[in-house]
Amino acid sequence: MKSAQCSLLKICKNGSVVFVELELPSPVLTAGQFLLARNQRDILPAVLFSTDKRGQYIFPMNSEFHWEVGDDLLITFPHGHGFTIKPDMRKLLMISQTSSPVRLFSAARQILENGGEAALFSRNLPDQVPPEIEVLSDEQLDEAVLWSDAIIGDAQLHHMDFWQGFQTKYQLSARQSVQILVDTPIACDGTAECGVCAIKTHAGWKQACSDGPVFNLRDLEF
Amino acid sequence: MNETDRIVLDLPSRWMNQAGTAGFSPGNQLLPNGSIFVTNPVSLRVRMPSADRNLLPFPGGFLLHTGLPNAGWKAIRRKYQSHWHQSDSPIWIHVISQDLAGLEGIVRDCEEIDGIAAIELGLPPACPRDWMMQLIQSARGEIPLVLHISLGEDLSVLSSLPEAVSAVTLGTPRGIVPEGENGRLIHGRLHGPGLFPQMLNALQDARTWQIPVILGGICNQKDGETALNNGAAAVQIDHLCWQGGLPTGL
Repeated sequence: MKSAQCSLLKICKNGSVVFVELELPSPVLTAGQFLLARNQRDILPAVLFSTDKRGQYIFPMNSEFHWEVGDDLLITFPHGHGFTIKPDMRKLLMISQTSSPVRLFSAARQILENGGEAALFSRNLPDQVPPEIEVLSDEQLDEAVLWSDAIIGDAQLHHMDFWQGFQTKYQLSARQSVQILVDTPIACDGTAECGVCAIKTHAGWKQACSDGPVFNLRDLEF
Repeated sequence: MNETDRIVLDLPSRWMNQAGTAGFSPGNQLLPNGSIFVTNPVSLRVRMPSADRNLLPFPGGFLLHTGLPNAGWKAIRRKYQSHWHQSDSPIWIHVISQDLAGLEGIVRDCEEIDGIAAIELGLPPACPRDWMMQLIQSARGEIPLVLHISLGEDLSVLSSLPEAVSAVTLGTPRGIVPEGENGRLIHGRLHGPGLFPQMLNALQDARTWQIPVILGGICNQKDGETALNNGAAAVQIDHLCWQGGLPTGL
């Protein structure tokens, strides 16, 4: 784990979502990993995820936001396990079940830069979706699941209905990887072992802060 | 009863972490060498995370509700016994068992494990004095017993504590915070610097107890020093553990 002090360069609000730009020299996270950031007034650090834009991070939707441009932030990174993007993945389907799919976009960026394709299904589209990403309608989802060779998604911990039974409904082949970023409160990097971010898996309880927040759908126990 | 009749609690450092903030083993470099390490709450049997576990900020602090999940004493002892034995930090096991025979068994086990310096017994919410006395009776043994009670509980139960109790830890209170837009009420433990005035007030009141008092809920070095200068035998650091560790040079 690394730590650094950096300046908050820009704040952009889009509906219930807040984006921040940090003065960091290089990408510090892989898709789905998070960093912990706080200024001197913060009691708890904020959990930030990267977007597809360099230096831009998305602020948690349910947190109190009081940062200002120019604030010095102490950050630690990287935390958790993100999405596994293999070189042979070419057709990425993103299914977002949260208020913003933007945290999935940095995975799409990787696929696109490798010459692949990416499609998105979300009921909460941001103002700007990268033009290379195809936005899907309800009617197109079934076909896109069959088309894809990798599926990533997100969901809130207590709203996993969509993903429950997803595998059975679509009879996914063994080659189709489904990885879910599970939204849950995170307080630290795992050292507290407090259990507030506990996720039930077939291998027992895991901590989203250190074992996740990205989990394989096949491993999750509903 | 004379305070000198109690089993003396060795405090090589007057700074320690608070149960629930640093895991079950001091291997995470959060504590300076020699600091006391307090484990997360340990129960006799496995405890699952609460279904409505949550972390909710409020001005001056946050509410944390977890259900105190842990793998149960046997599994935890198996996993961490060698860590505790090898640690430079004296280990305090924070026990929340409500099974009297089970509690006694945990204490007997702890007496056999090198490195364990004390038992911190967490009292349940609204614990009547009779039940508290039974818990103390089961938890008494050769190693010091520290009683943990939360601010907001009936502290009068602590009058005339038996000599088996070496010290009392005053923990932060429980509370309720509404969750987001739906307003569902979440119960849990409160944390944060905004609680310090209440904690300090309780510390002042505790002077009459005639027993060493350890003050929990400390969120910064200044508050810790204030508590130590005003009667606390030691202090427990709260969420500072989640911000990179205890201050060095304490």
